[in-house]
Amino acid sequence: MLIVSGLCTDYQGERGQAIRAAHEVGFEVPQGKLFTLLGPSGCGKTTTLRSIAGLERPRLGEIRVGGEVVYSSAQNVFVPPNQRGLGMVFQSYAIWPHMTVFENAAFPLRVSQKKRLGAKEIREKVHRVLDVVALGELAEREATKLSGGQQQRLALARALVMEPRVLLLDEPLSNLDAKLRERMRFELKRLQRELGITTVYVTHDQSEALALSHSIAVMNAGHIEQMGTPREIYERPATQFVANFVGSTNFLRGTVRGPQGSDFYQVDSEIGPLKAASGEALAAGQTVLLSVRPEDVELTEARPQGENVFEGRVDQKVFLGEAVDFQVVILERALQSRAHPSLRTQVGKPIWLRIDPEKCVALKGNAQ
Amino acid sequence: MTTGTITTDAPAFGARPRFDAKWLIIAACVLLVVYLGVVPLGFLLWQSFLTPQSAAKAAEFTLGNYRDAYASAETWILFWNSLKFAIGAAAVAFVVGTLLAWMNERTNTPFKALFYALSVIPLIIPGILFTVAWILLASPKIGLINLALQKVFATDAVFLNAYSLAGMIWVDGLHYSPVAFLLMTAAFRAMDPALEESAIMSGASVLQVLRRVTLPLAWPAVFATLLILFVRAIESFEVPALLGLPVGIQVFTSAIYEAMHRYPSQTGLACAYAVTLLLITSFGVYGQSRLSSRGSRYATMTGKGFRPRTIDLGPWRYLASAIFLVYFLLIVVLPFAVLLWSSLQPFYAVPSMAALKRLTLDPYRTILAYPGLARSVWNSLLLGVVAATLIMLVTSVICWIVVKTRLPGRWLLDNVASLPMVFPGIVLGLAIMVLYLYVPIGVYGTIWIMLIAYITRFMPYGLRYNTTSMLQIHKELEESAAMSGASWTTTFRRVILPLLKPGLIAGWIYIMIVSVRELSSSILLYSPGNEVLSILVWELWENGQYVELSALGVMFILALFVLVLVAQWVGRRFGIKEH
Repeated sequence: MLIVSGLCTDYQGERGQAIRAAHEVGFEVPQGKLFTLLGPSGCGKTTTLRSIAGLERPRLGEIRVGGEVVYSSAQNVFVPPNQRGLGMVFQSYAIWPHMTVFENAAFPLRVSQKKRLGAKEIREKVHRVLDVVALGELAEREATKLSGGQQQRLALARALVMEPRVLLLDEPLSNLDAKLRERMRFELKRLQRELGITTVYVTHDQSEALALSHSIAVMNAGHIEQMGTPREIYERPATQFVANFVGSTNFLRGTVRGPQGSDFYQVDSEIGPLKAASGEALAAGQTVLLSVRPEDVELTEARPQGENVFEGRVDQKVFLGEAVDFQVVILERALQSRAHPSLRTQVGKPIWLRIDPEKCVALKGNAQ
Repeated sequence: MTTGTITTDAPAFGARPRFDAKWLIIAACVLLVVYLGVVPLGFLLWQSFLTPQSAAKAAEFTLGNYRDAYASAETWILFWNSLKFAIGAAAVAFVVGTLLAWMNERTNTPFKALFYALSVIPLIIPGILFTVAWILLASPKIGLINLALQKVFATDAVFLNAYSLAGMIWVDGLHYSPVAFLLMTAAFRAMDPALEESAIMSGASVLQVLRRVTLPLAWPAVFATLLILFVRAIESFEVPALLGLPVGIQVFTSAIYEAMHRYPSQTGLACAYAVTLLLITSFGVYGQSRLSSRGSRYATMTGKGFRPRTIDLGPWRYLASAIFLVYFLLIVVLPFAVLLWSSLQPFYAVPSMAALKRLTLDPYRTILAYPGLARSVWNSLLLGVVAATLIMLVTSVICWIVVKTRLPGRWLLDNVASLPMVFPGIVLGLAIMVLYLYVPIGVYGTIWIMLIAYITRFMPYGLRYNTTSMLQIHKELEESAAMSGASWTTTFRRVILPLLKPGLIAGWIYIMIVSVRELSSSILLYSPGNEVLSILVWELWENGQYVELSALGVMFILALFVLVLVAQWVGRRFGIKEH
């Protein structure tokens, strides 16, 4: 439905010089899927979204929406944003304060140049979309009298009312408080899945991205670091940046000894020899960085069976309610581990660790 | 019995209850502000209902002043002229300022950052010098622009006439267009660009966005700017006095001046005019405050503030740059150049080869040896320094009461201290003059009466500068000083004032600048021997000493320019926010 290829976008710096915000960005979003651009602030995700919207003019590349070229540097095509037929929700919601809820949502229909709708038709369509976002009761209210969550839903209704080919969401949940954000996350997911609308979602919140997306592109410094399903991104990070940015992780330095079965390697690490997984081929003697998620460091008081078993000592622990965070020291190297609260090992006592080789990911070329 | 009782009312140190200087300082400041803000206004109103006092007859209550004022057709012409002038000047300033602000904020005009930096320079030139410069540029007989155009088109038609209503509107509107520029720039910056972008994403065309989103949202700011410009134009004195009076076009401010300078002076009539003028300005200022309180309704949640997309003007952007250039030429370069030229001539002459040969520094020698110069420079500086210092200190206390305490009636104090905002300079001069004429406490005819006028007139500015900084001082900073055992006076002196320093310095310099330029109040209050700089310029103009006036003007503008540079340097050094 949406194909972006080779997209480069610059912006003007303080002194008028061109600064590259997005570099060689390319991805494809199939019909009905939710695609997320995830990254820290300044990584180019919003610039990429605004380039799709047509609010920024890219330098190079091509953007196609449903087969139609809306931007192409090679063919010199630039369809202005108001003719692209895309719906967009802004981070600030951009609800017009001088209109009612109804008028805000009706605006796209009223200004539509493609098809002129009658008053009755507009009323029906607007009420239908307001009902979808549960604002039907508030149609006549002044837009400024809405709460943050209601404004957010109104912005969504306004973007949906014209039945856009693609919905663009720019950090739509970041201005809500934590509780409401959690609820709107489910709400948004349900709506997107029910309406089956192709969506591009921009966020810096990794849990939002993991919860909502069909697929995710992690962006850093203007380019895409890794693209994949939420599970792939989380369980098989391709780079140190992705491992670090998405979730929390333990990094261990190591040197490759040699392969051990297909896709597995024997690695000498800071805490001793262990078996690690890698998607890429690794050569013996190569330095690597191992990424192990805290919840994948299994702790037991009795010595467990299997590979990658180490003995350590409990250094610190923090009780979180639904889990306990342990800091375990092995050969003076501290590892974070998240365990079930039923594990009550005292600080200073010995403890056994086991790391599933599947969950121990070797990352090439970025060991420090 | 417990050994450690806690008492709440006993003094912390020493058993003897001490007299607290806090209340003395607060009371003194409040009384001063109320006296300065309220008494002249009350006296002006009262005076407008009295017959002139003479040796033979005491003043009596009368409605005659208003009857005289409003029965005469002249007053209605006056009223009409004032409205035409003020609306015209506000419109010129608004159109020019808004166009420039839009080009600067929303288009890709080259060198726009430079133009923004230059935009404050026109505000430096005092009104009387700007007006004089435009007389030299556009008077029908000697105006340089007329002469140049006549030469180009080989005719003797008069192209521009400064001595006309249109001329007055043009000069005054141009002089205050930077105010419109700054206000509208702020309005453009305050608007969340996502509001317009979301309309574009909804499929609206550029015109639809403008009509249905941008204009309705900008309307409060537009209206507020127009009101400010209107009030300012109707208070304007220099332009109507220099350009209007010679050809008999009177507005309220110049009519008040005329009424006071007739013999015998018609105080009652002047007061009646002044009250009318006050009503108009009060209406305007009240409208502004209503707008700004209603404006918060339009405050929207803003996101990360993506820089607004600038409109690509294509090749037109060079035209936009050219407009900036012409504007700068009209408002700074030409006025200053014509003053500089005439300051280098033995007698005023239009530029020519012959005149070029006569270039001389004599006017500077004459003006520097001018008997009244040293005295008026000293008076201006003395008044500026004393007024600025007193205002900043007194308003810091007032502002503390308004911002930091929960004292009942503090909003009233705020309003009283801001009350002088509605006084046009000449009306304030008149009110203070009649007040101290009838209340003989020995200030009339001295320099101190001007000090009282300056303090009253510029008090609202001091209050505004102090309020901005005061709002940034967290209550706990004061509370921790109190917990350390400091008295209120010590806390104020050692904690509050140092923290207010950026605002205090910025406000001090600003008041210094506006005091030195002040003319419209001083013109009614000065007495021989107590002239200030702006009065000296006025006198030189009346005497027809144009070259000496130009020499003084050039030096005056350069000195103010240096003062502004110092102010900006201080601003950067101490991190003062722009107001």
